[in-house]
Amino acid sequence: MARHDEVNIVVCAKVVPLSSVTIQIDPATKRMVRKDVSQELDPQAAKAVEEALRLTEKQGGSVTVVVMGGDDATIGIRGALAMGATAAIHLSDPALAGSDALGTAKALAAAIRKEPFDLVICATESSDSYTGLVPGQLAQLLGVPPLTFATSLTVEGRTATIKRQSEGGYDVVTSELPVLVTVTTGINEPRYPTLKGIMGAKKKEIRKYTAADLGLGPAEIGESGAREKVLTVGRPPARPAGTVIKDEGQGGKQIADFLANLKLI
Amino acid sequence: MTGAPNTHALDEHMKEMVLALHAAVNRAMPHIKDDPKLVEQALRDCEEILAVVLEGNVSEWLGTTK
Amino acid sequence: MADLIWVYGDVVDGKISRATLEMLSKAAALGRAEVVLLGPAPDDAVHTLSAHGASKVYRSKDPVYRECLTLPAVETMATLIAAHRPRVVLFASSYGGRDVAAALSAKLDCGALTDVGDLALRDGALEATIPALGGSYQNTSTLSGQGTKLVLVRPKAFETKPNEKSATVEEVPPPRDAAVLKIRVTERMTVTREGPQLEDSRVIVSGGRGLKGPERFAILQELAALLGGAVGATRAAVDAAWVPYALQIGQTGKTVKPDLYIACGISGAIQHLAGMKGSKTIVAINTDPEAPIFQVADLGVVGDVFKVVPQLIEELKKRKRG
Repeated sequence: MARHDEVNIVVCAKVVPLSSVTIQIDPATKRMVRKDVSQELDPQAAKAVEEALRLTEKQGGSVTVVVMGGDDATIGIRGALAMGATAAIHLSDPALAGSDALGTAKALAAAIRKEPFDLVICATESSDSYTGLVPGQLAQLLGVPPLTFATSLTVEGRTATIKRQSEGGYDVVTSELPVLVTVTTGINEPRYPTLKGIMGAKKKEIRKYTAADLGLGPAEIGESGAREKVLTVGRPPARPAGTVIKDEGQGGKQIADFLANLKLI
Repeated sequence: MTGAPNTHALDEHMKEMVLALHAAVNRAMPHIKDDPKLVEQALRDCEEILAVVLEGNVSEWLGTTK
Repeated sequence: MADLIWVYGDVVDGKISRATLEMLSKAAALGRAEVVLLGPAPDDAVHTLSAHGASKVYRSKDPVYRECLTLPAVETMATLIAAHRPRVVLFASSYGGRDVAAALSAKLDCGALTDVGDLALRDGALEATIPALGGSYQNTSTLSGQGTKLVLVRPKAFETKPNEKSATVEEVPPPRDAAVLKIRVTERMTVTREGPQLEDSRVIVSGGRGLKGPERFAILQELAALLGGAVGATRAAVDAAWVPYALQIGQTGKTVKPDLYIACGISGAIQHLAGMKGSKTIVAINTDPEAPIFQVADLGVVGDVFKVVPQLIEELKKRKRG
C-alpha cells in the first residue's frame, strides 16, 4: 500500500576515475582519457544517493539512479544499487561520447522524462570535470525549479525545503515538488555497500538506453553536438615553480615575494 | 592473453567487493575516536565481505548455481 | 563597432561584489561594457559600476530577484539577451551566478564555459583560457554557434581597474508569471565563522605533524585570516586530536582545490596529497629536505615553521599597510 507522502526520486550520478588516479587529457582527441582507468561511483554522487535513500527510508518511494557512461560505468551503477537504490538506468551509446555539459543534460532529461518523478537529486559538481553546469541545465530542460547548494534537505508532503549555502551562511529555501536538488559535500556521509547490498544489487534492474531510445541525434549530443569546444590542450606556463630553498633568515619574506609575483596577495 | 570463462564477471564482482571495503574503511576511519559503534559495525561488515572472498564460492557470486 | 560585453552583477553583503567589478574591468577592456543588476542593491550601485567601466546598467530593484532566486533572473536575462544580443555575458562563479548561467545556457540552447581564467575575442570568436583538471592543464576553449556566449569567470581572474564612464540606466520590468515564483527564500541566516569553509576556500593554510602540538595551530589561524583563507590539517594532526576532524584534508578527509595551499610541517603522505594536489599553487615549509611534499610544491622552504611563518605574517601585515 503506497504511502501518501512517498517520493519517487531520480538520482543523476556520474562514474568517475578512482580518486587516486591522475586524470590525463589526450591531446589528440582533447578529451579526458577514460579507457582502462579504474572507475567508481563519484563520491559526490554517492552523497546524492545517500540523501535519496534517507528520504525513501523515512517516507517510502523509490530511488532510480541514472548514469550516462560507457560499459565501464557498470561498476559504479552497481555500487549505487548496492547502497540500496531501487533500480538504475544506464545511458550507453558511442554516440553520447564526447558530449558537453548541455548534451549530457539533454540525454539525462530525455531518460528522466520517461517516468514520473517527484524529485531529482544531483551532486553540485562532479569530481572529475566539475563544470557544475549539468544539474542547472537539467532542471531547466525538465521544467522544474532548481534548489541548489543544499547542505540539508527535507520533504514534507509536497514541499521540499533545503538549507542553501550562501556567501554569508545559509538561506532556507523551499518549493513544491517536483524539484531538482543539488547537494554539497557537507550534506551527509554516505553509507557503504554491505555484502547483502552487493548480492542484492545483482538482481536489480539496469535499464539501458541508446541515443535512439532517447530521441537524440548528432546535433544535440556527442562531440558533434557539443557547443563547448576545446581548442588547445596544454600545460600551464612555467613559473618560478618547483623551487626548493633553504631558510637562511629570509624564508618568510621569500614566500611573500613569491605570492606577490603570482598576484595571490 | 584470453581470459578463462567468467574472467570479466569475476573481475567485476571482485572490484565491487574491494570498492565496498574501501568505502567502509573511509566511512569509519574519521570516526575512530568519536563513534566506536560505527567503526565496529564497519569492521564487521568488512569481515563479512572478506569471509565470503576467502570462501571462494565463485559460482554463488556469479549466480551460476541454482 | 565595439563588441557588447555584459556582466551579470552580483550584490554580496549589501555591496556590488568584487567579482562583478573585476569582470566589469575586463569587459570594458574587451569592448563596450554593460551591467545587468537584478534585485536590491546599494544606492550608489550605478555610481560604482560607472566608475569601473560600465556604459550602461540594466536594473531592477524588485525584491522578487532576491526572494525567488534563479527563475525570475533567468526570465529577465533571456528577454534582455534576445533584445540586445550582447556578444558575451560574464557571470561570477558565485552561487547565484552559477545557477543563472546554467539555466540560461539550457534555455538559450547555447551552452556555457566555466572556470575561465582569461578570455579574448578574435574576429568575434571567443577564446577562453581554462585551468583544467585542477590546474594541471591549461586549455583554451570556445563556444560554437552564433548567439551570445555565456562565460563563468574564476574568482580573481581579473583585476579591478578604475575606468570612469557615465552609465545610462534602463529600468527593466520584473517578471510576474507564477511559474517563475516557485522558489521562495523563507529565511536568511548569517553564520559568524572565522573565515571561509574549507572546501570553498580559495586559500588554505594547513598543518601537520611538524607543528608538534595543538597550540601551534594558532599562528596558522593568524596566517589564514590575513590571507582570507581557512585552516586545514593532515590526518596525523587530527588523529593526535590537535584539531577536529572537520579540518582534515586527504583521502579520508576533505578534498580541496584552493588557489593557494600552504603546507606547514606536512610531510606529504600520498593520502594527504590525494586531498590537495589539485591546488593551483602549493607552498611547503618543512625542516626535512627529503619530505615528499617538496615534490609537489611550487615553492618549498626547508626551514622551521615557527621561524618562517611569523616572518611571513609580518611581511603580509607590512604589505597590507604600505
